[in-house]
Amino acid sequence: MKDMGIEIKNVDFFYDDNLITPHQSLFDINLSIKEGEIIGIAGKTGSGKSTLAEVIAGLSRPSRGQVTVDGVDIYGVRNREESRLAREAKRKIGMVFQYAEYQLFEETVERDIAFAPKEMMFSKKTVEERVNRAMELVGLNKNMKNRPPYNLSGGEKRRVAIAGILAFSPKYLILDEPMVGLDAKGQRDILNLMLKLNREENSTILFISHSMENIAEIAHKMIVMKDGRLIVADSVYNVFSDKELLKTAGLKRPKIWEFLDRLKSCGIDIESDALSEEEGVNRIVSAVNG
Amino acid sequence: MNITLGQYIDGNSVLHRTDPKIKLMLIVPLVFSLFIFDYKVTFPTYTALILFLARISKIPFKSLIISLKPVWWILAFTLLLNPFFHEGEILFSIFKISATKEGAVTGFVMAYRFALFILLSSFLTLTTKTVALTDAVEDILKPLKLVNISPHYAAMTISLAFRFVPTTIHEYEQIVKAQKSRGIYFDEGGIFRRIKNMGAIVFPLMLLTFQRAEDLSFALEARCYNENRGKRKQSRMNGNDYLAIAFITVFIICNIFLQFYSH
Repeated sequence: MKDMGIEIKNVDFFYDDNLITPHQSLFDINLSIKEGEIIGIAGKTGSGKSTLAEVIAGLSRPSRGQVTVDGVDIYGVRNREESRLAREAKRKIGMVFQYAEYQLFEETVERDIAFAPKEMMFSKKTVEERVNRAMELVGLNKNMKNRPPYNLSGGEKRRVAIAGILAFSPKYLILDEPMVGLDAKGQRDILNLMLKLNREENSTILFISHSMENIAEIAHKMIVMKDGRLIVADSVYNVFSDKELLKTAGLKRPKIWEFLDRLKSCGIDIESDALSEEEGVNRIVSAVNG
Repeated sequence: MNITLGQYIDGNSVLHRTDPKIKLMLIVPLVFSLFIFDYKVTFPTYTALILFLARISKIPFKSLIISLKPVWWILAFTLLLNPFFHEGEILFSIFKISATKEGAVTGFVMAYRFALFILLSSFLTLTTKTVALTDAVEDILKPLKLVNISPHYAAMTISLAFRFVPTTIHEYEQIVKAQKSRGIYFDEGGIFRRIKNMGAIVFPLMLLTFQRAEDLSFALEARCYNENRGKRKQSRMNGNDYLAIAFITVFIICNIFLQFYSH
């Protein structure tokens, strides 16, 4: 089928929370997201990353421009039929907010995860299957089902919240800083979860992150935002190779890349463009061996 | 959602420089006389007063209009419904309900008086920083000491409550979006489903608010906060304050005079 994926055309977004001067937080964004991609969104605080994510997720209507999901315009609704189609299209997108654990509200973990599929009128049996599958994906133990979500640990709560989104099997998953505030292991779990969802469920994943290491490790493509403008959307390798670009965006290369660069400048014969620590370690090993 | 609180506009006018305490205390007799005197006396005098205050404080007219925004529907209802609830000379009738001239006048008087009241009090918030206002509230609440309530804590509580309104609104919006992305549409379904769906906003919001209250109290305690702290600025009556008191006293006496001797 043609037109699959998400297309963003000429999107502008104004905030008018302060009545006197509305300020613009997105300027003429054009972007196309293909199915099965993992995309990392980088940029400084206040560069419009979260706003962009909300616009793509169908939660904030852009002031101008168009967002289409699998060929359906999710904001330009003119009649009942289009409104139904737009709603169906929006349900293909799941968004995990920053500090997603704050959205938990049901009495038990199971009921909270089941909330979205229930709301979407799936049958009882399907709901249960979905809940089990979602818990399995995020690595939550089955005996947690009947516990109240409030006295779980931070990482567990986050995973319950993510499971609550996964439970309606969104084809497109948008995560706004999913790793923030978690310990090293919690971060690792979320990274692995994103990879697993992409490989096993063929989910398309967009995630915002301040960690260049995380983006370099799992993303295929990356988007760099600056002052509400999209300054580049390219492969992770190309973005990190472009020193000028990184400088204007105020971003740094992954630490391992920087480290190999240092080694190189000390006269060691080594290629510095490693995206993951594993790759970097392998290069060091082969440089040492010969 | 738009609520303007802490709408302070920076400036250096007489109005800005007057002690917040004095401003707060002067508002009371002003509002009192606005509501008890005949509208034929107060409407012209108070309109003039507001124009005069706007001029000397250099507050843009736009900000004054914005301060009326939260109550515009109360004004609209007062204006539109009153004509139908009073007896008198009939202007026109719809479905056997008739609008009267007396009703229209009553509606206008009520709405205009209310608008004057809001505009007058918005000068207080437009020319006073929230912190200064809290200090003023604290001073005014001093008599509470007699009933064993700390005026400092009371004032602090009030100012914290105001301070966190925008934060809570922001959180509310965030939670609404998060739940929407889980497929909850708050604007559809029967009444019971809607009430149930509201729970998805109210519970997390309450939980967050309690949690923050607790964090905040720990943060305050960690800095040894208590009511015996001194103030950064000691307020003292100065020329400005006497001028303001004199001006408002003369203004109110004029109103009294007009009320009793104009007929």
